[in-house]
Amino acid sequence: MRLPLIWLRDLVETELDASPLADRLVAAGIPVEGIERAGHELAGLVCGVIEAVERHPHSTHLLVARVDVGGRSLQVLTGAPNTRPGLRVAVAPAGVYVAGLKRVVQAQEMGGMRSEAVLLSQKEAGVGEDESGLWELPPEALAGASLAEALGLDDEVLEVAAYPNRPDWMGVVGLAREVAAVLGRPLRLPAVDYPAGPERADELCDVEIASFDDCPRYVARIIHAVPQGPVPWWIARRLYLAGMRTISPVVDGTNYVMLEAGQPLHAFDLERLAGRRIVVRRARDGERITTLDGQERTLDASMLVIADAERPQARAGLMGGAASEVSPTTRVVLLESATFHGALIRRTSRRLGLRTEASARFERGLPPSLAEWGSRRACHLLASLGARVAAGSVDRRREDDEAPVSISLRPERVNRVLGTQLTEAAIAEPLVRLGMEVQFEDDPEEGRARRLQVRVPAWRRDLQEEDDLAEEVARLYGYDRIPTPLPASIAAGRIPPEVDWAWQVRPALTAAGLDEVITYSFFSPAELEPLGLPADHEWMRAVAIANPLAEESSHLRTTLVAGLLRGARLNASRRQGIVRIFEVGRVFRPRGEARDGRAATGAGQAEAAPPAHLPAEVRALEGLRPEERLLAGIAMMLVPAAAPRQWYEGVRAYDFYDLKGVLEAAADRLGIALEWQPTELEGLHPGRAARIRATADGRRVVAGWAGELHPEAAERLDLPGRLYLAELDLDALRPMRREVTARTPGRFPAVQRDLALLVPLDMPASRVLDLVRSHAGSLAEEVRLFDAYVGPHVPEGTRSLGITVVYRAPDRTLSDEEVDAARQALLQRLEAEGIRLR
Amino acid sequence: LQVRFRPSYFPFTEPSAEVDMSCVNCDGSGCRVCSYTGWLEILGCGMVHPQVLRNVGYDPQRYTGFAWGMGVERITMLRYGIDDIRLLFENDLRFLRQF
Repeated sequence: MRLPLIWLRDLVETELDASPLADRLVAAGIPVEGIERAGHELAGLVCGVIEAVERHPHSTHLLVARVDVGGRSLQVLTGAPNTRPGLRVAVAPAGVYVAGLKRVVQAQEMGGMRSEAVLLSQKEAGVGEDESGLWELPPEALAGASLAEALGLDDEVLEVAAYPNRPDWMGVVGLAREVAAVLGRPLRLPAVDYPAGPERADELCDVEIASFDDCPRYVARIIHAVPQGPVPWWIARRLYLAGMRTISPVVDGTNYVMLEAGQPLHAFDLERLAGRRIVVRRARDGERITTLDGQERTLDASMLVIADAERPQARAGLMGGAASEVSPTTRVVLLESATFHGALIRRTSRRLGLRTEASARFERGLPPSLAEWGSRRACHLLASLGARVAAGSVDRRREDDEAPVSISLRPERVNRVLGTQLTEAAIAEPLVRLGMEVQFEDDPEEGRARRLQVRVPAWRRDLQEEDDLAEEVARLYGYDRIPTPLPASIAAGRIPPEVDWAWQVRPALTAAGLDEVITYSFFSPAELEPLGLPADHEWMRAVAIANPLAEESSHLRTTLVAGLLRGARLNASRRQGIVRIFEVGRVFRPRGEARDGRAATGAGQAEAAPPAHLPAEVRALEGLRPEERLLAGIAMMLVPAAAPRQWYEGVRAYDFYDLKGVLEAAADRLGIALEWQPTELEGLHPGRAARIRATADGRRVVAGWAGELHPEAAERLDLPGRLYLAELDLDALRPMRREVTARTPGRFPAVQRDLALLVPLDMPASRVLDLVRSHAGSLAEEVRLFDAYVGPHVPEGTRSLGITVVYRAPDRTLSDEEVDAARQALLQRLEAEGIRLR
Repeated sequence: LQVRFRPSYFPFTEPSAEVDMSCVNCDGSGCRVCSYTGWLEILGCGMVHPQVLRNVGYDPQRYTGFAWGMGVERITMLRYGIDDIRLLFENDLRFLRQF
């Protein structure tokens, strides 16, 4: 809230200026978000005193006034009914911009007479709602003085935020209490007494509460001789500095108390309340109300209303109704001061998108005792303006009102949490300064410090246990006075194996020429629709988020492909011809879903039931926790037309083998052996997709997949080229790294034999190489593929693979005969597998 | 560069604190970037609230703990003068390659 310094100084004495005061408050944990000098809208306006008034010669409604503005007189034309000599007025001289008029004032001719300035109403000056006549300034307004300065409207104001658990910081009293505690000064509470009139409140109205859960307390007082006319300047000034406009005495009085105490009030015209009854209840579905802002709204049973005997007259905690609004003809006022259930007000406020100064306070949960204090304070103010307050009040509250809370505080707990060595006196002192009653226990045990019995004040419902009090001690003691040693013993930390593994994978992919990207963990399965996946595809069955921020982030991602597609498309749309990207990140699946036929367990997560001593709500969440897997996702695309041209060679689009090469290079660097199996995968080009496996020590696991995005999907996504995608399951690959056992390279010369093998078209080259390796004999050191040929020179249904076999013995130079024998044996065994020499 | 440590509020810590650093844009004199306060919030922290410990089965009388969190993106943006957080997730290669 906006805290004017002069209002603060009404309650606590301080010579500090705004800036040093703000520093002290921030150091004590009160968030001061800014310091402002008010009164900007009044720039250029001056005070004037009317010296003489005459009728305009040619106009029946205009008057000609001579106005003293200090050292000179201006002639000003005005139609205001209260124009009279001696009146102090707000003058806008020519050249000044007046926000309320939305223009710069200029000297004008009206009916042959010159008007050199404009005299302003409250509304035109922007300080109030009154536009019935000229704003009548108080005696402080000396002719010629700057209006803002003379009236103290340019004072300093601190903008203070209030944490959700500190409703008392939404009132000057609450903030003054903090300032008093921080500076060690006494707090001067405002007066709440008033002379009681002959009438009795409980004879003039009745109040019924349907549910004390919704409304813990409702206090009604009755006011006759309702003051009309402007409020005294000291009230108007404080309201203005705090950011409110003056409206009418009763409303100004309730606003004043709301800002001062943090307790919103509402005034009803009692004679317009049917049956002179207040009923605090839930609305019935379909009831309607027209609120003060002129809007007619339909209500439902989730909303709390203040009704009379017949119909709703106000939305509780939010806004009053127009029908029972206090007006200039109101003779009797029912003044409401109540406590409402914070969460209920907050929910209704959010649903309606309606947030008021009142609702902002109620939703934090006010103490019921504040309702009574606020009611008395308002009556004190209104009585000082001439109102007559009926005796007594109608006060409805629960039988067993909130018992005062007392916390037993152990100094050793405080010192343990804070890391200090404060004495019991040093702990008690800040608590007392904050307005708490502290007593020491009588008979402490041997060798133990005395406990403190702390009575928690009504306005501190946020203090519930010892650690809450420890924080209060710490923030007043001063966080900067708490010693800062390093912890005495830190067990040596280590990086978890999964994290370490990810940190190895990323450089391996970067070394293979890819750029790392990070994409969002949330997505929408709708993004993958262009891929034409069936509805039960594992990527489409995602864990939904109960309260998503946006449609695009409605689910936890099941694959890295969505993010990679976004990245590829963005770069393609910005004419980036070469895209080679990867992401290492987690994907999420609904718990219990099998993946690749294996039992559903997340990596490193035990499937034990949650411990029985946890709260029930926490145990219930375990069943919802999605499974996580760590994946590496890769995307590659080269669009020759957009790629930078090279001077020494051309560029060509990527193909499947570029992707395969990148993955093999990265796997090799990580010590992992991959196997490729061509297959058809949904969303991918049917002839250019493969399942990837990893092998080590006789084990074989599924490691991922790779392929070209299906051309139809690419077209739907407006991709200008062929996009290659892959995912590797890093959790599955982590145990598949091979240990290297070094082998001494052979010193004796090798003999190389090239073979042209005719193989069936559907036999993958990897199978052929595997067969050659297994049948080539112990002298074969290396087997390589160097050529593949399909065409008229080989029989139909076959292709020719050129394979080099390198033979070397560790202990001797091989003879041609030995090599030929091995080659012969190899060809014989290959023939049995259907592979012939060409 | 100044740093300050001040009390604050989080529902899940008690006591709570925040760390500010002097605004890199105006050197603490006040500007739009720091809402004219001269300070930029970079970190929140506190002692884990005893109720949070109870909720996950720890006895707060036996154990205390602290927690802190810093916006990695925010610090990166301050360090490198990045003015739009979306650049970090858009993955435009012309941006990524600068680092």
